[in-house]
Amino acid sequence: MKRQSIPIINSSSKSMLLNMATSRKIWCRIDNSSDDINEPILVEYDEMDTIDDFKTKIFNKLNETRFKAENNNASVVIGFYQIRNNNNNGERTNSTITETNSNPFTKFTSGRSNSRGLPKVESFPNNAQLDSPVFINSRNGNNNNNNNNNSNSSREELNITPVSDKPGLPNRLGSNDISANSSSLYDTSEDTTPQRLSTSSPKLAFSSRMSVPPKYGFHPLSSSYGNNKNSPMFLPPLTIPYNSSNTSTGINSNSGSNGGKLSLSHSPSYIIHPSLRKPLNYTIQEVNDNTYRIVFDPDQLISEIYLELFGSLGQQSASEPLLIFSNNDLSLGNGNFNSTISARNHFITNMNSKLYKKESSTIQLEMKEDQLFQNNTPNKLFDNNLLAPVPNHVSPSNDHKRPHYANNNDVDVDDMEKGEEEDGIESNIINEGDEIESDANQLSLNEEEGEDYPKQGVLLLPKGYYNKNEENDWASTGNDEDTINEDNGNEFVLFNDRDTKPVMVHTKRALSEQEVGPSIPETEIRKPVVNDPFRTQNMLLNIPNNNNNENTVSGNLGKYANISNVPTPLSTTFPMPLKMIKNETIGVNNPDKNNVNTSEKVFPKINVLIVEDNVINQAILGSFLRKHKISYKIAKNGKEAVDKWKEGGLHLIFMDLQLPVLSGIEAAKQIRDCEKKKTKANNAPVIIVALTASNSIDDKRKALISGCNDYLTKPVNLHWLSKKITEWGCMQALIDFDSWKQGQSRMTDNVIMKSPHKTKVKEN
Amino acid sequence: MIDTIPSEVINWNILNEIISMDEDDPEFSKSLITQYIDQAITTFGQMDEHLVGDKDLKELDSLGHFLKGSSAALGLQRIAWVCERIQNLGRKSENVFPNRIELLSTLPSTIGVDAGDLSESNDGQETVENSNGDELYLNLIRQALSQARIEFKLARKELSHYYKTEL
Repeated sequence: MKRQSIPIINSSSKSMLLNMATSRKIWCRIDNSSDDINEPILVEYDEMDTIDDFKTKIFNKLNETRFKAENNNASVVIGFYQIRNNNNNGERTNSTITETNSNPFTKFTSGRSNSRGLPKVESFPNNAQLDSPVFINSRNGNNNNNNNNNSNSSREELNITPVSDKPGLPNRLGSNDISANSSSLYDTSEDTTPQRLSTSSPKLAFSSRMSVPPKYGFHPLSSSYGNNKNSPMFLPPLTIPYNSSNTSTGINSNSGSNGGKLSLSHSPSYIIHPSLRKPLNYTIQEVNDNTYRIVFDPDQLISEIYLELFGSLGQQSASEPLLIFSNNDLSLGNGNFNSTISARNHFITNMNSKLYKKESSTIQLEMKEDQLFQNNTPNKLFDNNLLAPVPNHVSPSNDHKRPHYANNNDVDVDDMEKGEEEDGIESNIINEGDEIESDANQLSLNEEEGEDYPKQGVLLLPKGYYNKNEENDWASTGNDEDTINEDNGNEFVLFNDRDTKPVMVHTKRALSEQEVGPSIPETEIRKPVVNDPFRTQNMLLNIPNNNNNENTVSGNLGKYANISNVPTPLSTTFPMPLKMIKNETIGVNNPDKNNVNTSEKVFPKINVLIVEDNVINQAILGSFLRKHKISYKIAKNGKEAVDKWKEGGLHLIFMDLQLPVLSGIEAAKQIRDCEKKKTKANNAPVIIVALTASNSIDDKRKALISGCNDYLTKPVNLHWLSKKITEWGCMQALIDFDSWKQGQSRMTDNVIMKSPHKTKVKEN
Repeated sequence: MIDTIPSEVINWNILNEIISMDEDDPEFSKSLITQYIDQAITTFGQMDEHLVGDKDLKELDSLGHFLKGSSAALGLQRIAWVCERIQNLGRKSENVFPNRIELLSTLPSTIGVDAGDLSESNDGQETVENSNGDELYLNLIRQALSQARIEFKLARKELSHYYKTEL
């Protein structure tokens, strides 16, 4: 975790370079594929990629395969299997499927069973895969599970009740009284056929490095699938660090004809491994008695996972891949020659309707149709077999519970499916939607996480927002080591998200009024960025914020004067070196004054074009840029913008979209077209940041399609504006380094700042 | 669904950003405000012309958009909101406009709306009946424009108070 100890000031530009030079790759393999051949794949990732980004890359890699056609980011999770240390085989009772399951996991645990050539693990029940009790953590009360259960009983009774999974309810943890939780338990009489295991499990390799504290991971789970047990299970109370409001769900369903009881349990938890500097965020999902699954949260950085599991780059071998779990038990490739992607999609869409018809024809009860409809709706929404069941009120007497094609009555429905599932594997249904929800909860619960990473959602709060609780959070994570000392104007502390060590910067004088600017309280950094897929891409390049001094704020914004007195966690980062405090530099940029303008240190030297028809907005943007000594031009409409661009020398264009004469979209298109025509090797393409008046995704999409690189929503928050300038300016600097570098000594200064964690720079 | 009008006349978080630039350019924000006031009055006038004259919804749309841009940039969020309505009505993407009482009721209690604010804004309050086609939208825009003028007065009052001069 060395990376974490380097101030982000330096690592930012460095990591950008690093990312260009070396590629980070990680082995992954698709779990739940019933294909005979299922090789691990090597997927590249970037340093700042979260699991979610990583999924996107996996899908890119798996271009056009059926896996991709069936899944999306929301329907897959990344993780691996972990063997439970203490076997609870003693708890297993005369299960209906004991004969097939009597020797569970012998092969599974003994090592990596290669899916090719090695005998299939006979004893591994199909539920070991994703239809296993997946814990759904839901706060809003929609808590549903669909499980395919192995059982000889042809029919099971369902006891589905609406959920009230509010924290504090007595039945949250003890699964004894789980009536408040709902689940739908589906059984099939075919299912006793064991599923072949196509998993080579990396778990053994992992377990030594990442052991889950027994408290969380190893509570005896009395039930396994197909294990009809009468004894309810009790979970030890969980004390979860970080997450006091975690919810835990127990699922308890009556397995009808056998009178068995199935109890599942889930404890989503944030586990802090002592050896982890920053704990990996993951969820534990019980697979069965002996195995559970570690599933990483979508906001977990993949690089951290790699570091934790495999060590430094390149240490992972193909035989210990991370596993990609998905809902569907699908072949990776087009195993069946007759099933092309389109046919598959067709099949899926048809399936719902077929299902519907099929079911309704076999069901006498009038309520059935409603139920099916409910179940089908989310199915379509997710465009795959995902079922996100809504709470169903199905009376226990109904013996036809499953709105699910895996019913043996539905043989005709899934001919295709049969091809892949001849071993009795059922398509698995999971309430992934709720899982996502739980992730969202985690997101909000972990403020620090939210702050750190360019997740899709950056928490945006109103300007001047200051939350006392936040401070406490920071305190607990050790990030607020220092506070701004308002009395001492000569000293300000800079630190960044990763690094708890502040960088002390001394200047001779207190920050002068020249420092003023669009500076905004640091707390404002937590502002909601529109959650938008495009955004993520843009933010992969995690170029840090420009620094805004708190002192500035207090000096100038009377309203916020008190902010800097409060110990506020700074997440300030410098993309450019701090060591700008040189007289010659000052002389160049700022001949009149002796003081250093902070912004000069950060803002790259670029030429900006403002395209805006409203003089007021022109004036605001212009004034802002002037303040930061950024040279700019103004164009009143799209036509002018194109003309000005043709004059050359521009690095960055802020383009309003709705413009007279020629719209911003059109202008951007024209510029891009021209760029294509004359490809000067030296000239990097100009960066166009669209200024969208509305928040509509449509506008943004249009902007990006037309060739804009990014967008800001109007009214432009000046803080974000400076971030964009820094971000894209730095990009330009890197792309076109040589021409940019002229007259710049900043990049090399960076090196000086790099080594020490704590540096004092004295102004001479 | 149309979101509701912001309660506060001025979003000071935004305006303060502008005001903070006064530091190296004194009177910067004030000059902007003056400029804005001119702009708003001009724009309202242009809207009037289009409402009476060519009844060009497209023009009204872009005028609404135009004034929305600067209003929002200065934090004059209620005007910006009304301008957005005008813009959307011009695009026919909305076909309702809340009545004045409803809108004024969202104001914070500290702000008194006196009769002077409401004068000269009686047009547009006639019932929107027997209007078909573009007339419906034009009528709604008339309503919205009169509301925009009210909001403008309120904002102007608050700004005058802040700058301690009559703006």
